[in-house]
Amino acid sequence: MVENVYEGADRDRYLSERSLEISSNELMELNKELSKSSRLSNDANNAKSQFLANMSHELRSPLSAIIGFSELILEEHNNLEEDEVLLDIERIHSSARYLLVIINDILDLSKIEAGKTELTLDNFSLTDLLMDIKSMVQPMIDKNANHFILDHDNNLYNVLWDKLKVQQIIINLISNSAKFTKNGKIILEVKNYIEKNEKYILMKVVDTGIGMSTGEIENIFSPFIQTKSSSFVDQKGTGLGLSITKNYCEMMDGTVSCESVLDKGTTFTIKIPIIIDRRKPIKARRKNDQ
Amino acid sequence: MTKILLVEDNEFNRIMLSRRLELKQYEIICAIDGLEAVEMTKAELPDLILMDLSLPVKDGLTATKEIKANELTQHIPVIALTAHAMDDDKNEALMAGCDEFETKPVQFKQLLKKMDSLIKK
Repeated sequence: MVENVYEGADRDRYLSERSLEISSNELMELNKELSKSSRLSNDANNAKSQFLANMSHELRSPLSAIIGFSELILEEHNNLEEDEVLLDIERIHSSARYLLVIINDILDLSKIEAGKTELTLDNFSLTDLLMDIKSMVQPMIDKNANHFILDHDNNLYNVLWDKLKVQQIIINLISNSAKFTKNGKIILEVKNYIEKNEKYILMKVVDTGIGMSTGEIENIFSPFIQTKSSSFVDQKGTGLGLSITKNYCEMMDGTVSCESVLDKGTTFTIKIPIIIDRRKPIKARRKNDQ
Repeated sequence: MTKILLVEDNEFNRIMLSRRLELKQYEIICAIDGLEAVEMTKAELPDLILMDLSLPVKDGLTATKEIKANELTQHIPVIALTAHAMDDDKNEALMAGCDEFETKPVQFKQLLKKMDSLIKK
């Protein structure tokens, strides 16, 4: 062994140098780890600041209409016709309703981020749920003069799912399609599906809307990302819906994917196993990478 | 009558602000995106521009830079209106050539004052 070569003071010196070298290496390693974790926490902080800034922006737009129209009525009611005032109150009302949608979305997303979302699993008839959804989405379908088609297998598997979350997922996707499609078709297709002996339900929301470019598709599941188009300036949405959808799908061991062709339309495909394994821990995937 | 170009993509906010300003005896013309804003500025030569910053097609900062780079239109004061309320957003707006900055929801009286003092200049 090397140590044997050294005697007395030389040996002591060698040993202290060695231990100094080891401590120094350890320190360097520690330093590396520290700067890595500080970088990670900086990234998380930046994502959080960005999220807060976006949230502030999303809340300010409808608030601006609410405050503006109510001040207009308060200050100018003597100069306004009754019809005008009624129309303004409708605008205040719809902006306030929209504000509530944003707040609910933000709440859902923060629950997901905090890992506090729980699944309430139930056996229910998927066909009945689809009928309910059909009547719920009809007003938003009509808004842009679209045509809704529900196409489902007659003998859909029995499912053990979280009914409300599945409902929210499907409505999110349909409302997304309804926003970006005018005088077109929106199809909800629901089929039984078997892969590697596992039973799934495959759901597709297909629209004939404005579609997206490849670059746009990449970002759609990140919170607050919205694609904009001049002919659809009246579209409303926080950009949170798709992020919530993706998180809920993954919590139910499912997947969501998107295909789109610019000016042709978009198809969202969801695949969820018919029985969600209760024993598996629910992992809320942190999706903060924007 | 003093002519104001209001650039705003959000329908409700556009209607609200243009009505309130019309009641204050301003003549209002509207653009709904940055490209339209630049074109209308050249064609209409308004006395002042109220510019939303997050706009489709061409954003408000780019539109303002183009307006301020054009000899024909560079004298027209631009007030940035934005729901982005951070200091960085304000600095960015001023760097792009905006003369003033107002955060949404706008304080109407304050906005009128700012408009007034810029128009008088």
